[in-house]
Amino acid sequence: MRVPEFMAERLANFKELFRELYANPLSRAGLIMISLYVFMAVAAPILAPPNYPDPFKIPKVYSSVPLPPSMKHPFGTSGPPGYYDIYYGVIWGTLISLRISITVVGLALLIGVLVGGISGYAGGVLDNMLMRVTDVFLSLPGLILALAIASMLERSLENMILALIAVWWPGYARVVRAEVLKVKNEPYVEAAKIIGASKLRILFKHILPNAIYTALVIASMDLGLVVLVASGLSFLGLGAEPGTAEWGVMISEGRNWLLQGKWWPVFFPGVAIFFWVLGWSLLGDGIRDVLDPRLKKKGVIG
Amino acid sequence: MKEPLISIRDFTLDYIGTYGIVKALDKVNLDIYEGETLALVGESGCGKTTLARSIIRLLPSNAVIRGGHILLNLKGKFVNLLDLTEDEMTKIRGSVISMIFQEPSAALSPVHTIKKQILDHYMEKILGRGISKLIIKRERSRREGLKRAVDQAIRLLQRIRMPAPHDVLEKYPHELSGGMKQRAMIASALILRPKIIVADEPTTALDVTVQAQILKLLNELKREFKTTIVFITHNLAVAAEIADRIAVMYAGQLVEVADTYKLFKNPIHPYTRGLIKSIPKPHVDEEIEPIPGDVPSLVNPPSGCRFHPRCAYAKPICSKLRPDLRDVDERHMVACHVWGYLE
Amino acid sequence: MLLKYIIFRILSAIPTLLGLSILIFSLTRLIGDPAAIYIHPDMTPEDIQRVREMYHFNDPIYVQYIYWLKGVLHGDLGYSVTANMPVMEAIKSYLPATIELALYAFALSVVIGIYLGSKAAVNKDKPVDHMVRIIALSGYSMPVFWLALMLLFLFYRVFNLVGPGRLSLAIRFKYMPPYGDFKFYTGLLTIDALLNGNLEVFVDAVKHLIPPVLTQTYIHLAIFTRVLRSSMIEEMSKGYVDFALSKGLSYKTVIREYIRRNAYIPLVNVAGLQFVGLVSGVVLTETVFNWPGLGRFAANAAMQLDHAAIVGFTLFVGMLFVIINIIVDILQAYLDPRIRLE
Repeated sequence: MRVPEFMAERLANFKELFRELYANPLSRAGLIMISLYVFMAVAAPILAPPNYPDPFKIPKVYSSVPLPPSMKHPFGTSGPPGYYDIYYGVIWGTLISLRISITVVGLALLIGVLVGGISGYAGGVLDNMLMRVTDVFLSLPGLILALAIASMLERSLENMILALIAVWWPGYARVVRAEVLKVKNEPYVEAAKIIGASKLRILFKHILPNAIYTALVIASMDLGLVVLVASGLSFLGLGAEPGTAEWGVMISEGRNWLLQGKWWPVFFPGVAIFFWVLGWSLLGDGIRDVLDPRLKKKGVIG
Repeated sequence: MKEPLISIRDFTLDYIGTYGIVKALDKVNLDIYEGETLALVGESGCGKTTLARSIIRLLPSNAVIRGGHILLNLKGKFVNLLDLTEDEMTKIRGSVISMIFQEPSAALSPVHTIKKQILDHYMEKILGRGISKLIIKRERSRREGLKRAVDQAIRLLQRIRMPAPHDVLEKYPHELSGGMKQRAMIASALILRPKIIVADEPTTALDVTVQAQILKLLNELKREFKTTIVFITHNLAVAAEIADRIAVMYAGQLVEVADTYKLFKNPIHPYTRGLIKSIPKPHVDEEIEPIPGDVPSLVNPPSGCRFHPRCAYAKPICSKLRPDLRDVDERHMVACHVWGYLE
Repeated sequence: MLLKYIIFRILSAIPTLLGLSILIFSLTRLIGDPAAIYIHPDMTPEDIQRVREMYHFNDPIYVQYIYWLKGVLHGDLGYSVTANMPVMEAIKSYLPATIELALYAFALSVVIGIYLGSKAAVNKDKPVDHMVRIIALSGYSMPVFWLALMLLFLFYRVFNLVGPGRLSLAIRFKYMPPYGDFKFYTGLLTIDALLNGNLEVFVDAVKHLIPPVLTQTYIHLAIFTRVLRSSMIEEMSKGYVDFALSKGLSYKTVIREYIRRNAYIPLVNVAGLQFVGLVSGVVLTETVFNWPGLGRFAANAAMQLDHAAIVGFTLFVGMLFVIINIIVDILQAYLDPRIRLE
């Protein structure tokens, strides 16, 4: 069975996958949370009329002190010096979070799968060297390394995303390599070799499709964790600019009035981050439980 | 006939499973006498392990006892093991009833020394529990007690013919061979001189030569310590080697119980006969005749005598009424409507 | 056996440390003028020229690496413009505050995590289990800096208990040099206070430790709880449990002696990772509570582009991580005798 047919089969099982995810209460909760966020992102222009020319810059609401939550401003405002509408920031922040998480996880996964796949398949000196490199990257906690990289580059959201990709790919490389080592010796790979398939073909059509499951499960949870780290970096001043609708930087701006009792500029963006991470963690856990028995069944591809 | 040590009457047990209720044991009646080796024989799923574990009450949480009792003859008094509280049962385990398991590698904890695993229950039961450790004036007697315990263990290991017992005590399970691990488990089971040992297929996981050694060992120990052994096995040949009496089980029912010699000389129940015929005899030029059909699911077991669907001699009554165990001869009982009568 | 493993483990860490130094070195070359790391604000142009020569900035890059590495091994990590002292000194002076915070948080999260994880495993699928899992999951999903801010709000504004920093001003003006004669032995205020026999400082230090330690603990006990719970659940279905019970040991004893011991093994692995996770969390927590530790130093350095400090901090954390990993591996070999025989 070639890759395109394999993918089709997986998609056909999608409905069943979905049903199983829905059955488990925890992953159902995750599913609902994430759906809510997706809805918020898609419906953002309706929920919070966009600010021209850049919808990701939070519109200003001038007042001498932060205004508490009200009908006009459901999450309140942040007062001087930013004058932000918190509700607006939280809604449009969803889009930014989606962008950050998908970009970082997507690219890191791509790099990780390639490096891990090649490393595991080729073996020998190349494998050794690549693994040493990933080991070095993994010898530093994510936040710290991202902090170091981001501070060396010009401060911007894009550079923060770059730093995060650099931090995240080694984890995937490691995991994919471990799986490739296992899959390498499966009978269907031997069969392909005997038929005379080229090495590249074997790697991409036979080995990788089976080796990426674990990485995919981790990736689904990482979609949540990336935002956790990204908001931390933004909070420290290394990511989005102040005034952007990004939850982390909003919290750092919200600090000013916290000790004077104005808690909402900090509270609401934080809650947004919390449920985002929680939702993806629950979903990721659920996906793992659902894919796991399948992992054992779907051994033979190609 | 003297009184039995253990008396099982009308014992019925179910397992609550994901696919339904498994009726694992159906009104089992069995007596076990002091000093004998009784083999519980049958295929996988027949309930022999469940029955044996019921004696020591180490059942999984989804096991439900539906009825019957298991009486233990303790110094003249009969105690229903099923009525005891967990604490009381804990006192009985190890000191009165002990168990050895099939896989010694799985049964021994990988991170504790052999010494600890042979002696910890000894220490706790003989030398007292944790609190008394704090009483300082017993400190010296504790050290002496420990030394005495180790001596006991060494002597027992020597009797079991464990090579280099002093060294073995300090080792970890993964450093020992399969036979040695099994001996360590036997030592642990015997150190408190229990009256009954439940042996759950202790030789199945071992090499054949080691198997023979262990069986021989168990026989010797039984005679010396006057222990009663309940020996579970699916292998009739092993049962023949070690048992004084054999109890044959099928699909949760006890079908035949007899002295070993009598069972092999004159098997009566159709299932027993089928089993014995299934044993390949290398020097006899005979075709093996397997019993037709499959072992039934116990979620919806056959009514009456559970063997009737596969039995060549089945009569209408066999599917309606469950046959009781009846004496057909001295020390030979059979549960069968067709064959289980005194001739 | 164990000794051989220890030696083997330490030796195999050297290539990783080397690789780490290369990674960090490449980081220093990312910025515009790498020599900026060594430059003092009051240096003259001649001084700057001499610095360039000393570190061989005009030579090919591998030579630069050698001299950089040499400097590092002698404790020369450059000059921090935010702290106004050499980076090494800054690290040394800020380290105790972070260690005090990290140590208490780590100890608490391990102890509470083990307790909760154990309770949850033994009572699997009952209400206790669900409560514990919710606590653990929420700790895991919560942004550290947000929790820190919320706790700061609670403790400072709502309960009016304590403010930012390690000590209140009153105590500082009463006892700390140059106003008082409080002697520092370890740099950890709680221990030093006891060594000084000064109860007031001790109480004040503890009061100020509570919010940041609480923050760090809550986030980290999540992982310990999860790991211990799943580890114990796995162990509970293993064969040795039946065997131990058949010997007449009570279920409580079996849990305590056998299951726990076996369940700790994967925990040690996680603990090591967590300790370093604590270091990164500390960056955010210290910033919020204005705690004068390494974390706040690094955060400030990042914000103000103090490259020397950032690089020095990163190197320090990397080394710490490698050392912790070695300790973790050795601990695991101690706990699990199967590993020793390699």
